[in-house]
Amino acid sequence: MKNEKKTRRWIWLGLPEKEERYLSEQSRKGWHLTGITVNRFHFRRSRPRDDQYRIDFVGKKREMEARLRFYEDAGWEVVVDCKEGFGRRLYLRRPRSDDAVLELYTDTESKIELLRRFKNAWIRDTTLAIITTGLGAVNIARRNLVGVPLMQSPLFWMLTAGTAFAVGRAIWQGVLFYRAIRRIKGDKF
Amino acid sequence: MSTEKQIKAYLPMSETAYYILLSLMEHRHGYAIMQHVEAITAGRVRLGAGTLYGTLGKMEKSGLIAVIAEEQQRKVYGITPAGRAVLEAEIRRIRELYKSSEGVRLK
Repeated sequence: MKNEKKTRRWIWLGLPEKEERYLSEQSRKGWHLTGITVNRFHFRRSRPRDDQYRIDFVGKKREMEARLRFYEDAGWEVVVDCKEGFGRRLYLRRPRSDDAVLELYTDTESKIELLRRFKNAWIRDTTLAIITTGLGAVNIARRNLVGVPLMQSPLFWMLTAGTAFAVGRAIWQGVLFYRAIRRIKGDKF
Repeated sequence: MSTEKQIKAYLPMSETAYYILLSLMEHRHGYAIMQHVEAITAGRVRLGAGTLYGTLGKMEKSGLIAVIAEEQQRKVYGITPAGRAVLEAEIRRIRELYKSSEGVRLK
């Protein structure tokens, strides 16, 4: 039996919560996260554990090491530290137990702040995607760079589809964030 | 920022902020704050590492606490006079809350 596997990572489909749940499920089946490449999770098989995964997002690079040290002191293992757009995503885990604090963020304010950091980074990424693909498509349409009728140009269609995808993704994420923030605020009187 | 303004900005305090300031009446590093808060609230308030790290950063920036020492990249924090003033104002507020509840009989 193979001891390593890679699975697809649907980064654009939702909030970090889904990834966290998925990674915890995998750990109970004996697959433990070892790394991440663009859209793949890498796992190695060993004894099943009940691990709690949490994903943190840090906008600024400043004091990154102090933060990691802080998390490690508090019992979190930093599994992956990956660059994502304008920030860094940290994948942390710890074994579930009663005497451990299983959440990274424990009050309403900081939970919302974390969501905002994810959201702001996504907004910047998406804006960049919309601008580049949109400008490309407009540029082709305006000057007809490809020399064939516009509607037959695959490049034009690709760029237009890219723009549409980025816009759709932005709307979908907006809805997810709005609902998540409402849910967190709902905890509070 | 004047102390007056800080008091306005921080009150009423979140439990997180209140217990962090209270813990820093003695010099402590991050993990020690977590343990202390958990101990004095008998396990009711447990601070997540992310929440604690973020709040400490903000409080340091606004001058309520200061880094007293650094041991192997672990910062040791302590409350500043401004932080103490804010904490005292909050304690006064909480005492008033408590006093106003005295006539209420609990079932």
